[in-house]
Amino acid sequence: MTNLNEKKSFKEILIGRINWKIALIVVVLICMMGLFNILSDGIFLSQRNISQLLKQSAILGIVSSGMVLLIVARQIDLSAGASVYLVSVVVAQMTVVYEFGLFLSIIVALIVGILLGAFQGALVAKFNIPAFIVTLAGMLIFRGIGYVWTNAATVGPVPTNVIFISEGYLSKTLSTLIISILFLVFVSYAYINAKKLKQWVNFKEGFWLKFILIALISAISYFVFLGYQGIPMAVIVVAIGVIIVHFIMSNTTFGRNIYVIGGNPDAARLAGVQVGKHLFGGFVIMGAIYGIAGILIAARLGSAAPTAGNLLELEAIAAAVIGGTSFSGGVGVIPGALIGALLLSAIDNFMSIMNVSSFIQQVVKGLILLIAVWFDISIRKKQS
Amino acid sequence: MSNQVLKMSSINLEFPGVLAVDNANLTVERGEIRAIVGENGAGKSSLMKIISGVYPNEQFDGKIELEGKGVKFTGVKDAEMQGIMMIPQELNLVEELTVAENLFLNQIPSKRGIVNKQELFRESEKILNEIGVNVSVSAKVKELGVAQKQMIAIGRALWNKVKILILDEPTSTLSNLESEILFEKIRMLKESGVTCFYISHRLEEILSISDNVTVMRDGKIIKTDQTKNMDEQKIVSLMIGRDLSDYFPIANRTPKEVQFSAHDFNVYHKSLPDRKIVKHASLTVRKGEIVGLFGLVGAGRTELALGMIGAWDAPVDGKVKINDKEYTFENPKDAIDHGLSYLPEDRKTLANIPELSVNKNISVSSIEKLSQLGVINQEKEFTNTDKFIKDMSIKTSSVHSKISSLSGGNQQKCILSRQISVDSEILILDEPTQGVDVGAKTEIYEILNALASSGKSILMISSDLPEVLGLSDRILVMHEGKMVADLVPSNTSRKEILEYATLGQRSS
Repeated sequence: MTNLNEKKSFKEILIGRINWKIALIVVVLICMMGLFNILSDGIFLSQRNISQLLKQSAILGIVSSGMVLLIVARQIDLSAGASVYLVSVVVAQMTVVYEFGLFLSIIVALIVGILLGAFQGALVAKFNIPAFIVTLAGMLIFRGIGYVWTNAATVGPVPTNVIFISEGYLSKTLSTLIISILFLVFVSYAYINAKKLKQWVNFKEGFWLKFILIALISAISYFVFLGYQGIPMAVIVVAIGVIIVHFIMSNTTFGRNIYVIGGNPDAARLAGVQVGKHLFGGFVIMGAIYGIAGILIAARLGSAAPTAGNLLELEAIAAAVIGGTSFSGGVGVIPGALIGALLLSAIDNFMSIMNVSSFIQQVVKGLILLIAVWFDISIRKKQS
Repeated sequence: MSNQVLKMSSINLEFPGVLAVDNANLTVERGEIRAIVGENGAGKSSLMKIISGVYPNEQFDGKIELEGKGVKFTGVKDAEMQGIMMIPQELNLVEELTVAENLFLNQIPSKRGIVNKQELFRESEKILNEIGVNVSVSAKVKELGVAQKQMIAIGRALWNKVKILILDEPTSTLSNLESEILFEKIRMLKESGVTCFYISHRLEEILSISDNVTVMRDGKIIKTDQTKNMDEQKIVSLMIGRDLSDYFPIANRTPKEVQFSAHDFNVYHKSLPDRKIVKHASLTVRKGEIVGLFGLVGAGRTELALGMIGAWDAPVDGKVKINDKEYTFENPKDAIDHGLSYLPEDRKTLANIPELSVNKNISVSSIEKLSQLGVINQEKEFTNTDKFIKDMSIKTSSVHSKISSLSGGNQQKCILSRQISVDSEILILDEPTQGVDVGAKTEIYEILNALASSGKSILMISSDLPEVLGLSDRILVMHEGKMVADLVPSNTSRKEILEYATLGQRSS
């Protein structure tokens, strides 16, 4: 039965296995970028602007990844923005007020983030309080703590070595090296894996499809980053984080169980999956993401600003949903959310270039979210 | 014309692989109380769902005439408008709303969208008086007893000028006294010309309340006769008339020592903390033995199983013994880790992960074994899946197909594979052939026989009598939460088993 796959042509595989929702979003994204580029007289797709855009979308990207994990498990996180803000306050207080070293500050910030996640996860998993409520409370409490601690004032400026974590660039030589090494590592990993699994997964799909994607991303990276200053540090940090979360979701027992729990929690429990433990774990991972995003936001703004992280959780939910994550649970992938995050950031970026008011930006983002979900639902209807 | 209210002719209802209702013809008269009896799955509920519009007109073949006119119901609402109402086992009342609001659900008296509370309460008082229920109209439904809730549901039907009322196992959760009150109301309704369909497993009740009895078996109407011509023995023998099909493979095995047992096991009700659903149940399963656990729906078999594996969400009192060691399991994972696994009864809601593939569905329980350091070894996982697809002859176009795209029998084989893949010594299977076509049934029987022959201990909960008789080495029967019989197939009969299940004892 599995050798049926062997006869399929590449075209058939493309048509058969592509995630249509994501494909659609990619097409929309490409068309939009083309349009933006024309309207902005070529500024939008300049290497400098794309580099900026990627840097700007980094924080949203990593928070969206964690949001996918939680939504797939039928949870939600409304506290993400506030948690990220609180971590940024920790970073600023440590480095500016208490003058701790960079390394120690980072460790403490990560630990604080993880504790915030673990606290909420424990309430959800141990006491069965709905995540919506727990994280709504978390949103109020964490931002409140930050305001009390700072008198709602901006704490800064943070030292330059902190700023470097987001705003710095790897040298072009190092960037070339890293992109090349990553390209080789991913291609060989995909090749070895596809070879091993070719009995069950068509080789064209298991390897060549991935190869094309990896090659495309590498080529764009060479073009953009070598054309402008090298790889931004924020992009490096987020890329590492996102790759880890993606690996967890698609290759580990933990990630698999998250999909199982989200798909049917009762069945998961009866089949021996420890639901509570996994939900707790999911929030802890989200906590680590608060840590990373909090450091990045402090580094990017050069301070802990009281408005930092405002609406971040809602944008992350939007990005996840635009990228095909289903609110009924059990469905959603990290790359989809990244594309969603990129799309939302691209709108921001373009409208800033065009000097459109930020109020209209919100209207447009809201509309895109609605359209994405509407497409999702109508595609689903057609399939069934 | 005669007093005929409802006439159904040549009704056929088909589900994939099963004929749920097979060429049924039925007429009832005004003011008649008609009992419908049959084993689980005989087609009673399906037939009633057709009458009450749950299965709308396009889902079945045949004709329905209401008071001489042909009718085609588009849904429950439509059937209700025309005076047919079903009161299901699970009452559809809104627990958090008041009695009055529940009586008028959907049709609350109002003016420009603002509820007229005075009228609502006044009308509700009237209904309550009519059915003789003494509760406050402003009480919340969740504060009422089960019998009172039932009355509220009936009250709602009355207000809707019901012509035909269908009661599905109305007394399954009632005490004797409460049942008596209910019967009184039903007789009152009869006087006022309402026709009642009365579905019940309790034969004494049927004999005391109904005018006529219709017996169903395998989707067919076997016999309809006046109740006064019937007795319990007669009804039971009509219910079980089915031949023991020869598709039960002959098993050649000798069970060894006792491997699994439970002693004086009690399971409490989820919302009524002092009510026991399972009462002092004890059982043993030997190595290499299939023990069939028979009982009617609601006898407490599933609750016993869930209690034993640690999946019951309310208090449980009792321990299970595996190889002479006693355990109280915290959760199903705990049970699996100690060699006890469970196959859920309702595949769709309790077992399938619909969005995931056949491959991922099969490996749910054994994923840790197929991984190193928490990372899934996909090669191992696919190999494992391939093995089960072959061994169980699961028909699927690929390991990547979504489980929901498979037929019921093949889905069940996937879920069974999931359970077998953890390789536990003791397997509890809850209705393993529910919603499975005959071909797949035979295959599942062969798998169970092979498991027992290889030394596993199997407890099979089943409502399918031929299956229980054909497959078990020993048969346990539960009745209203109690273990009432421990029988050997060669030494018993379907009649005896069914008597234990319906009456709790042998009729002399």
